Amino acid sequence: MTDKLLQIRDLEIRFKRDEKTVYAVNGIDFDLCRGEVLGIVGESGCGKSVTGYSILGLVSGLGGRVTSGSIRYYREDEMVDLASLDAKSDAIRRIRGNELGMIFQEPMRSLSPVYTVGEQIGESVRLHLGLNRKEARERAIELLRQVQIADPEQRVDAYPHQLSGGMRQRVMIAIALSCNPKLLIADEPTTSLDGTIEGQILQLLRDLRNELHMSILFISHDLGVIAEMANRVMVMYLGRIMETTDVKSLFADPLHPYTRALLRTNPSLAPEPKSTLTVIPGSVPEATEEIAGCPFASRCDAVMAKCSLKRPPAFEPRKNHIVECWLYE
Amino acid sequence: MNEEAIEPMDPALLEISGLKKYFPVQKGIFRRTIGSIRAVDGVDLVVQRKETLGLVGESGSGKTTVARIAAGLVQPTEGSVIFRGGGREVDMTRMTSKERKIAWRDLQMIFQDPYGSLNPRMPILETVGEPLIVQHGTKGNVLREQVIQLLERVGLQSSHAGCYPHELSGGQKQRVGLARALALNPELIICDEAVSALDVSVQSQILNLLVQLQKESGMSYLFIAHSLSVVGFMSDRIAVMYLGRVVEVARSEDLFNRPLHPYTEALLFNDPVPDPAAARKRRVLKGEIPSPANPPAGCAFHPRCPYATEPCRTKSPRLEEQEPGHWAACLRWNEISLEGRK
Repeated sequence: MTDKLLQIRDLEIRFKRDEKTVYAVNGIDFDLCRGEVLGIVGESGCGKSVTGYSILGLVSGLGGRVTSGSIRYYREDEMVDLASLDAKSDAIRRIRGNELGMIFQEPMRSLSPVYTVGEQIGESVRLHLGLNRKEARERAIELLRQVQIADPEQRVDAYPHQLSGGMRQRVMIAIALSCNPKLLIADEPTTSLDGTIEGQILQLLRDLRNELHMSILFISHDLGVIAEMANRVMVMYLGRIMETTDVKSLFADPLHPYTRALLRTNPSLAPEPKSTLTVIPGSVPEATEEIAGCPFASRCDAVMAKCSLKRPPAFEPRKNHIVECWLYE
Repeated sequence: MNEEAIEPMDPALLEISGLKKYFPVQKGIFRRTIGSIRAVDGVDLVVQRKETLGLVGESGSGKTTVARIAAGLVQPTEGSVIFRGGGREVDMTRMTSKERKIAWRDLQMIFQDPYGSLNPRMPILETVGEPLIVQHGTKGNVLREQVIQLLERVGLQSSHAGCYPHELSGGQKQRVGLARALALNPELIICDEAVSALDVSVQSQILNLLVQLQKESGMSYLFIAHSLSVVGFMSDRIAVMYLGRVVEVARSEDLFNRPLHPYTEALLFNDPVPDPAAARKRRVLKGEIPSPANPPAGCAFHPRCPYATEPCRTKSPRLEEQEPGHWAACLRWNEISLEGRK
């Protein structure tokens, strides 16, 4: 395929915590195409954020290690394996924050409190695009206008604490867009925002994607937000991809018992108030042991004997609908 | 509409009237007061017996402040909170600490953060048993047995009694908070974002438990959350707050199917639903949530309201009963036609 932007194969990520190994990501494969919004959905500890960080070469900063696998990133004229680059190497620095942008859940934590918004956007464009101070300021104003911040000429001199949560997230998006990225990695970008503000930011991201033709890797725990944003969705659980398909099929016709259960537990789909919601028994186990079989076997309502013995491979019962479950053998 | 005859009801279990809470804004080394944040600005609400009243709103709407005043944890600037539990009638805003301790036998609160609200150095036995120790002086084997019964009621096991909070998952901690709240058989439990921090698969377990406990014991809930789906699932009636005021109150199905306030409509359209077809219909509201320190004149929602006209800028609407049991604070409610979920 020529429109492939990322190809991830057999990716494994491990962390060390309290002398124990955390099996965060356990051999996942996926592709991301140009212009596509790929959603990753899952509960806490499923490895969705770590997968995003690994593309940016930021896993070592979190105390983790990519122990195997490849992250092939296709540039205009060459292919780079991001997994093989050192986190501090010049090669990855040229790509990260330039061709790969990122936004996170907590904009306040990612912004420096002691520099103005303009200085922080400017830093990025001066570093990557080699603009001078005056040009950088102009580019910052232009970017603030692009993310629909009112009065960009004044706001460019504001400090992050002077802005609301929604505006800070717009500033983060402006920084991510500053160098025209090919791929934007958005990790729970609206989770800390109020509903009406969340709506605005999602709308902005959709508009920008159409305008700039970038790809987005959209990571969220919220199936509603994923339904709204993604073209294609991967459902993760304990470091594995349980199911991958286009957004319509996932919600209309989910195949994996985990996806089905996740959808049924959602209170907005309850037949009536105070009825009994479907539950997934137990809670997500800690990922401190290597699991031989299907990671969901212990909580699955369709579990069979072989499920806990042997990990199911990726089956494709329908075209472009991939599911790791023995039911589809 | 359902034409149920309105029964003459017992006096409400909780009656909040004319509630206001202003926090002073201070400046300079002499802490001069230069203004005030109107966190709650004139709220009237009732919770009936065996009822769940849902309270929704975004940050700064004052929903948590209302809850804290109702629980007697914060003093209001003005207004009263009459609580008729345990065969007594008390005003939660005017009581001595001794009276408050008695009221808390019948009124309990659970919070969003199960990590922050449990004492990390106290085993679960003591955390859950504390209300029994403080209120009834229960101890020894009797205490242990009662705690184990409570743990089993919320789906935990007797072995959890010896655990410390860090040994439990988020969902288990929230169950411990609930067991503690249930210890004295309260008539009202105030739940402040009680399931917001939980994963969806665990959230549905706790919601089911709350519903089941209400069916068994007939307590009332004041259920506060920012998620409309969760509140809609739990509540008989829902109150919507914006900038310190209640803008709409109605039975849940009326609020969802036929909202009368433009802000409620906006919340309905901005609550993410796991359905790609519905999700594309999201209507985006312009503007930021204003600061409660400097709320807009007239209707506080007018700068963001797609239906606002000139009078909305100057005239502040009152919360009035527009249809039986359906209250809304909007000047134009009968001129505009709003869209609900159905």
